[in-house]
Amino acid sequence: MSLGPAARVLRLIIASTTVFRKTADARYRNVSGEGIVVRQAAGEVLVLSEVGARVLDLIQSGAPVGRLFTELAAEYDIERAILERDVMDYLQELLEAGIIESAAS
Amino acid sequence: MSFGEAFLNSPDLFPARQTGETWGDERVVICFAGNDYICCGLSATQAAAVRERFAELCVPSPGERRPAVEIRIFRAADEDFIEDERVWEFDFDLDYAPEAVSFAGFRFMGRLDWAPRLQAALWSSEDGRLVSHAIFENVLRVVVAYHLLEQGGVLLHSAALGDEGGAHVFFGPSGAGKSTISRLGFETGRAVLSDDMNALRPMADGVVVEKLPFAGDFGHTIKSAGVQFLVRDLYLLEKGSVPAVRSLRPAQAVAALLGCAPFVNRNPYRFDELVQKLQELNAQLPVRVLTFAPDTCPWDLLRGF
Repeated sequence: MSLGPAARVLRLIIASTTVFRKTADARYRNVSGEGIVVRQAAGEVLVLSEVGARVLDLIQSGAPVGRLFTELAAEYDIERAILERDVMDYLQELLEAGIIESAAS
Repeated sequence: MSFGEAFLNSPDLFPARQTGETWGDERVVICFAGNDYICCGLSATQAAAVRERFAELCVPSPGERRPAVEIRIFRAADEDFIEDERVWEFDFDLDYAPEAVSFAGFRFMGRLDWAPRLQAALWSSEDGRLVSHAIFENVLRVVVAYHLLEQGGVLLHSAALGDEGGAHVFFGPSGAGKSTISRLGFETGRAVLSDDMNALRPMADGVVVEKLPFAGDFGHTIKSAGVQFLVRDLYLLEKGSVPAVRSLRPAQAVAALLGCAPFVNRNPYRFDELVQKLQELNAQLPVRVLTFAPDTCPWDLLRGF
């Protein structure tokens, strides 16, 4: 049984030094604090929450994952361990959706 | 499949510039939404078909102060296009570049360049079927979408209904209920500009919606050209069992509008510009969601707004 693309993405090891970038297929814009993402090939429009938009803003600035945690921890009153877990889950979702990719790829 | 592979024998030989042998010397000028579309290089057969199709929208010559786009019609050889068991196909491919958009479909290919000015070219092997089989109209829709964007407006998959108070515009994807609400509006005495596509343009005193020659299942009830209404409100249509109206956050509204702005919404080079225009539109006319059931009257619900 071969692994599908989603399963291969899940295997990406995310370290605090990992840097992501938006994929060429995805277009993103912050609208009043929330995010709009268009996946061009699929013709799909997604709305990201305020936190999701902030994550993508930071990714676009070239921030490694570790700085995502630090910046968001300063902006949101949430326990660090929970924040890191939630951000990691969210990054996996963005990877699976084809919105971000490793900048090293 | 890559761009054009379903339609063209040699997609890599797609025209890089707007040149070729025209079908003839005929010219037809079509005027709508305050703009002229100058179609030239037509054969006599094609020109007659365009005049018949666009009838009251055809004018003798371009207006001096009206923005205009030229669409030139060139010949293409039968051998340029794939011959297979398909009788016809109305879908077509679009391909995007920083300064142009290309299209390839059944028996035609075209390009719209916006530098140094907006100008289109259409190559087809069809003389008699250029209009009857929607080749010309498909290209015209793409041209209109980009022309409107240049003017700060947007082509929107929508139904627009007008009365003495202005127009209600209802947008949504196929199946959202645009034709149904058009019929319901017509039955209550409202004029239907179109139940499929409308042009929204910002003007000094607000956003106006103008009749376009593109209609869906219901069609349009306004026959004369140049009719425009000030838009009173903008609704995203949603089917449901409980009639309701609710607001949307700006990002949700812009995302919904983006999904209904055909031909431009998948162009990565015009994304920022289109989103900016839609943000401005939503700021002027905040989008609300109208949930309605086909057996209820939405006008009772809208009367309070």
